[in-house]
Amino acid sequence: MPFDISDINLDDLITDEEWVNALARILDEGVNATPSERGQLITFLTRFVQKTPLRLLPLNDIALRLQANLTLANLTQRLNELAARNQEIIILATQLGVQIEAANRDAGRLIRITGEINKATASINTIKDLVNQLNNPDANTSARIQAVATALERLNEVF
Amino acid sequence: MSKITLYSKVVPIILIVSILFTACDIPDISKFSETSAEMTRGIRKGVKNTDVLLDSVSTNPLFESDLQTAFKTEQKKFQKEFKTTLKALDSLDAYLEALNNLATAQKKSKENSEATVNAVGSLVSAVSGFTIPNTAVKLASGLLGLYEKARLEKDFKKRVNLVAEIVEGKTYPVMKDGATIYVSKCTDDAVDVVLKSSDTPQKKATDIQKLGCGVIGYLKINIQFLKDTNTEVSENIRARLSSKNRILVTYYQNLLSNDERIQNELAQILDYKNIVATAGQFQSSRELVFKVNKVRTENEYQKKLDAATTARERTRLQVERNSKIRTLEREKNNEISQKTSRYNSAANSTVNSIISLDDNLLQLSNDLDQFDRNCTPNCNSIESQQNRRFLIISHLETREAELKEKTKAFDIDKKRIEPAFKTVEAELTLINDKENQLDSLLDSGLAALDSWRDTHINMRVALNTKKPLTVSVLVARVREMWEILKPIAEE
Repeated sequence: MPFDISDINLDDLITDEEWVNALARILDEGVNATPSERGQLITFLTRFVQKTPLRLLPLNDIALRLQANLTLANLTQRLNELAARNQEIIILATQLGVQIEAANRDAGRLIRITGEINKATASINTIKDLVNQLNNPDANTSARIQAVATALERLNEVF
Repeated sequence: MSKITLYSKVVPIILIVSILFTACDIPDISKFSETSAEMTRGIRKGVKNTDVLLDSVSTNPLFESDLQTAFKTEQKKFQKEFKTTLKALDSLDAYLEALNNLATAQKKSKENSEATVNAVGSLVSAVSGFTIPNTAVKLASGLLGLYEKARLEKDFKKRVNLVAEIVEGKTYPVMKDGATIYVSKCTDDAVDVVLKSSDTPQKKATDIQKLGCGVIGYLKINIQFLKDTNTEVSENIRARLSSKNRILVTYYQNLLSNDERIQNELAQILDYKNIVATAGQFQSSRELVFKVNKVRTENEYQKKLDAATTARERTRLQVERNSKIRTLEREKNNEISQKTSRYNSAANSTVNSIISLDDNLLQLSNDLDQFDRNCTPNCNSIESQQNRRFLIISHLETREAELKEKTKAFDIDKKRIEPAFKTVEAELTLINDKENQLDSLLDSGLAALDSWRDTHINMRVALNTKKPLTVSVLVARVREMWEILKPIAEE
């Protein structure tokens, strides 16, 4: 029998027997229910316990126990499904991690290159200053030009 | 080296650096990165709140101790299994942060390289008339190396494209209207079919894997898990609280409904009295109008009679006057009769309505009907109607006093149990509010993940078309999440 509780109309239940039969039916439906069907029963049981006549309050104990068991069954099943899916998530996250590392490596390399470009700019600016003084270079100026030229040659090694 | 040679070496440097750092326009993804971090923070809050919900059951006295233990066990499993989801969220953050670092580094590099270009340009002007060592040649070759190594636009594109499948999921080519479009099999409906099946957890995991879901797809499935758990656990708490307080709640609701019935009866009694009073007022006022018109007619004819010269004329005027007065009286009586009939109908209808609430009135009404049937034809006269009304009103006034006493008693009882009822009501409201808040947050989280995927697709388009990346939809979704979270954050 496919799952179907649409014919249980709580507002139509009057006699004790009708209420007892309705709960028995819900218990039966819960046995082979899927998680989504259990979800429907869980919601239905809240309305059930809110509508039972006061003379039949003991039925609520059974209904509430059933509701908790259905909830736990769903929780267990969904957690098992989650655990089974986690393997795939781990694989995807690892693949993503590889790309993250590579991107960070690229960024790091670019930052390093940027630093070297800064040095190149400074060196070129120094040469420019020195060139401006070269009408009558003294020994000190000549030495500084040589030092900067050497530095620029070394800079090349960085790349 | 001649200055011409130097110049010929320096110019390519300027060109290389210019080309290198102006061509690679990586879109600004700082907003995407920032909004994504806010989104994942909101989703983490959803995970945490579900954990708190499970924890609350494991210590809630509404649940038997064996159930508390069972929920505690599931909570521990939940914490363990959701670690992977949290790590996946961390990965999303780390990925965008890395891309953002790359974009920022590229931007700085571009600015600095522009400074180099300017410096080299200045050097070229400065060396006019002077020869320097062959350093510039080596510098040029160094920058050429840089050019080869730092094709970062391509690297950025490569990263984004490689990651596309990991985060967005696999897409499959489909022919549509003569063109090839790429579609995902990992749709909400397809996932729903797998999850609702009665297969084993392993089989379901394999089926979802076959759909080619990416990180975003898996995160959405897990958020749906949180939504279902929130609904089902909240139902349990609500049902137990309702059941525990069934007697109190039922008693209070019955008091309210009884009181409402009394108010209804009192209102109908008032209505009846109002109809009777209005009917009486109408009759009196119509009588007065008739009297005024009669006097006016008499005065009018008196003048004519005084002026009449012949007895015949006087007789004619007297007949005419009496006829007019009779007409006025007939009109008055007709109007009173018609209106009274309508008032009587309304009054009888009200009495019939009250009869359903008051057995004694039913008895009185039956007695009066019996009396009417047994008495002389005069029983249907106005006088009889007035007597009937008088008896009914007398009865209703006694009933009204009784009902007011009952209302007082209900009020006292209601005030006695109201604090307990309000406490239960507040607890139920709190459960509902928390459930709705978490549900809305998770719904927004699902929508935000969809927007995240769309933004990532747009980022790839932006890279190819050099158009700016827009993240407004994602920003709106994330803002929605935090609006929902506001009260929690304020707590």
